Amino acid sequence: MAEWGSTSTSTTAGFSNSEESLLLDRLKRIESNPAGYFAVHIHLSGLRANNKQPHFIQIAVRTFDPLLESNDATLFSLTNLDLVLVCRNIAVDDVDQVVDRARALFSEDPLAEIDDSGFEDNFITWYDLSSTEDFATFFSISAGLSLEAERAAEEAARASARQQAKGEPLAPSNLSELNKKLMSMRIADLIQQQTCLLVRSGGDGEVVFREHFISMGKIRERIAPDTDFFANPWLFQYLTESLDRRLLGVLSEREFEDPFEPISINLNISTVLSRDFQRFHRVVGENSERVVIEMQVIDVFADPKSFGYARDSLQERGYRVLIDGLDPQSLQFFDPTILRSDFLKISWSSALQDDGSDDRESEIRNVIASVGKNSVILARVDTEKAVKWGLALGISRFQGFFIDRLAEVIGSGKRL
Amino acid sequence: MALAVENQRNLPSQENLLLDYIHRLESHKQDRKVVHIHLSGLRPFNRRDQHIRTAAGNFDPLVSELHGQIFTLKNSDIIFVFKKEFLPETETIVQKIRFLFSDDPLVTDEGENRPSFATWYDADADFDTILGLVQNLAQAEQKRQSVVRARMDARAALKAKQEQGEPMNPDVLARLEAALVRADLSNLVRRQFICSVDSKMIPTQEFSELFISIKDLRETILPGVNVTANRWLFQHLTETLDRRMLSMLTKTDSISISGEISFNVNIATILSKEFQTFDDNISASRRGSMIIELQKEDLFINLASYLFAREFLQEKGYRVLLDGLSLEAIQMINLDRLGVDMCKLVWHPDLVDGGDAVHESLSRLVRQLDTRTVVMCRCDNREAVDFGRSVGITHYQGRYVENLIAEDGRRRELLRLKRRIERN
Repeated sequence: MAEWGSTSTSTTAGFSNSEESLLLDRLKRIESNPAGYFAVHIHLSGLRANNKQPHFIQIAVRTFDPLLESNDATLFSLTNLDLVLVCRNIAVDDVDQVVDRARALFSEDPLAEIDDSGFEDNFITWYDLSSTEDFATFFSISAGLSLEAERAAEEAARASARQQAKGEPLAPSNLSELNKKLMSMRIADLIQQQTCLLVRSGGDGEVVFREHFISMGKIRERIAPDTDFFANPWLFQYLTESLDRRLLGVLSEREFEDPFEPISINLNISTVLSRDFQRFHRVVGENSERVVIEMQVIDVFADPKSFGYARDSLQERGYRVLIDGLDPQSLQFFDPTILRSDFLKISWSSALQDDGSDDRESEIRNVIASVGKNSVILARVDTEKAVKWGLALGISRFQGFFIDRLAEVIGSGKRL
Repeated sequence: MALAVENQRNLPSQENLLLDYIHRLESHKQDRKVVHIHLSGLRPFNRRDQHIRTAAGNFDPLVSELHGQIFTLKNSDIIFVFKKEFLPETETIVQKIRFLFSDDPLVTDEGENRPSFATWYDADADFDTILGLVQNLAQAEQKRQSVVRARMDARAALKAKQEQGEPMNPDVLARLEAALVRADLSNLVRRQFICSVDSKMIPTQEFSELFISIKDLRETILPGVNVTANRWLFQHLTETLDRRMLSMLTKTDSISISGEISFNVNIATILSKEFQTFDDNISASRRGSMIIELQKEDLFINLASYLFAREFLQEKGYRVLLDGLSLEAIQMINLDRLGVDMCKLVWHPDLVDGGDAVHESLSRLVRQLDTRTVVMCRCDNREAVDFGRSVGITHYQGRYVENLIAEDGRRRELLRLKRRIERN
C-alpha cells in the first residue's frame, strides 16, 4: 500500500481494482468474523488546498510503514486523498504513535489542530469494527466514498488529459530558445491592465493605480504552446527578467500624457537596478509619483541588500514601492514592515473565509495595524465576499477580477 | 537610477561636508551643541522630499543669522549644529517638527523600545561620539553610492566578466547539468567545520558541513564561466548538485561522512524520490547526527512545501538549519515560528559598521532564539568572531575558523612533543 504513486494509480487503474473497492471487499470479509478488527479513517481530504500536494500525501502514507511491516494492518489510500487503516489486534497506542507522526506533518493546517476540549478531532475517526453499529456506520461511509471515487476517476481522466496539455516542462535545454523568442516576439498587444481600487465606505471608488502586466498564458500561447512555463519556479523567474525588459521597452516608447493615470508594474530587483529602468525613468520624468513598482517577496528574500538599494533609490526619485506575493500565511512567518515599502499586496483566498479561526484573523489584523491599513492591498479579489472580508479588517484597497467589474461600473458614473 | 548619482559625483555630499565641518568644529566646540533628528525612521510616505524640506526649513531663521549650521543627509536625517545660547529656540523648532509628523509611529511610539525622535549632544563633552557618528554616516553614504554605481556601470559588468568569466546562460547550464550526471564529483566535495570558540580563541568542533565546491567545479568542468552570475539559473543548478550529493552520501564508500554533518538540500529535493531513497538507506541513529541546510530563497517560493518538509525532516530525526541569512533577513524572518533548529548568519563588516542599533537588535535576537543555535558563517577574520561573541553567538564557520583549527592542532602537537621530551 505504501508503494510510490499508489494514490495516483488507484484512480487510473480500472475501477474494480480501486482502493475503495478493495476496502469494501475487505470489510465484507471481516464482517463474518470481526473480532479484534478496527478501522482508522484519516481525513486528509479536509486539508487546505496547498497541503494536498501529491508528494505530501505520499510522504504521509510512508509514515505508516513501520506499522504495516510488522503487524496485521493494511492502509488504503483513497481517491479523495483520505487514508483508511484497517487493523487487527494492534494496540491503540501503537496506532496513535504513527497517526501522530502523520498529523505532525500537517501541523500548520487547521485540520490537524486538536480541540482542547478533546471532543472533536477533524483529522481522524476511529471505528471498532467488532461493534455492529460502528461497522455499519463505517461500511456506509466506505460505500459512499466508493461512489465518490467513481465520479472522481472520470474527472481524473479529464484532468490527466489537461495535464498533458500543459506540455513539456521548462528546462535549461529549451530555455535559451524560448528566451530568444521572448525577446523578439510582438508583445505590445499582450499588455493587460488590472485596476487597484480604493473603496470608500459610502460606496464610492477611486483608482489607486492600474497594474500593467504581460499575461504569461498569452505569451505561452504565442511562442510555446507545448511548454509548461510554471513547472520550474527558478527557470520561470529567469524568463521574467527578459519579460521585464520587454515591458519596460514598450512602456518607454509609449507617450505618457501629462499627468497620466497612476500605473504599477511588476519588476525583478535586478531590472530596477538596470539600464532599461534608467531609460524608463527618463520617459517618466517628473511623473514618478504616479508609478508604483511592484517587487516579488521571493526576490526580496533572495537578496535583501539589493532590494534595500532598489527601494531607496526608487523612493528617493518619487516612485512608490510595493511588495507582491504575500498571503496571510506568509505574514505569520516574517515581518514585512521592516521592508519599508509603500504598499503590501496580500492575496485573498477563499480558505481565509472558511477558516474562521480567530487566531489567524487576529494575526492578520495585527499585521494590518502595524503596516498601516492604507498600505495594504487585498489582491485576487474575485467575489464580493472578499471585499467584505477585507473591509471588515479595515482594508480599503482592492484588486482582482471582481474589482475590474466594479471599476467599470464606477467608471460609467454609477454608484455601487 | 544612477542619474542623480552621476550628477552628484563631483559634488561633495552633505555627509562629507558634515564630516569636514565637525573636524573644524573641534577648535571651538566649547559653546556648541548638536541635535540629530532621526527622520530616517519615518514611514516612507512621510519621508518624501517635500516633507524633509519643510522640516529643514524650520531652521532657516537660525541658519540665516549664522547661529547654526544644518545638514540634511541622504537618509533624510537632519543634523543641526548650533550655539549653546540658542538651545531654547532650537528645542522649540524640534518640537515643531515633531508636530509635523505627529501621526507617524516614529513619534507616536516613541519611548517603547523605539529609538527616539531626536538625540541631543554637547559638542564639547560628546565630541568623540559625534565624530564617530558622522564618520559612520559618511562611510555608509560612500559605500551606498559605490554599490549602486557598481551595479549600473557597464565598466563594472565588464570587470566582473574579466575576473569571474562569462555569465552563465541556459545553454551552458544545460550542458553542465548533463555533464554532472556522469561526472565523479567525490573529489570536489569539501568539508568545513562549525566550531564553538572560547574566549582564548580555542575552537571545539561541533559539526562539519559537506559541500560541492562551486569554485573547483568551475575550474574543472567549466573554466571561464561565472556559474553564479544569474541567481535563478544557479538555484536550478543547485538542485542537480543536491541529487549528486545525496547519491554520494548514500554510497558511503565515495566520501567519508563521519561525525555530525550538515549539507545543503533544496526543498524540492527533500520532497523527491531521491531523498526518500537516501532516507531509506541510512539508519535511524545516523539521522540524528545529520543537519539539513535549507536556503532562505526556497522558503517563500512555496511556504506550504517548506513547512511540510521541515515537519517531515524533524519527525525523522534530522535537524533543520536555515542557511545564508543576512542581517536584513534575520531581522525579517520569525525563526521561532518557522521552527528551524539552527540558522546561519553571514558575516559582513557592515554588521560592525551598523553601530549600537544593529548590535542591540542582534543581541536581542540571539537571546530570543535561546535554544536555536545561530552560526556565524564566512568568518574570514578575527573581527567576525569578536563581533559574534559580543552579541552572544557561540558557533562559527569560515576561513578564520579553519585557521584556528590548524593552529590548535599545531599547539597540541607541540604540547605532545614537549610531554614526550619531559618523559624521556
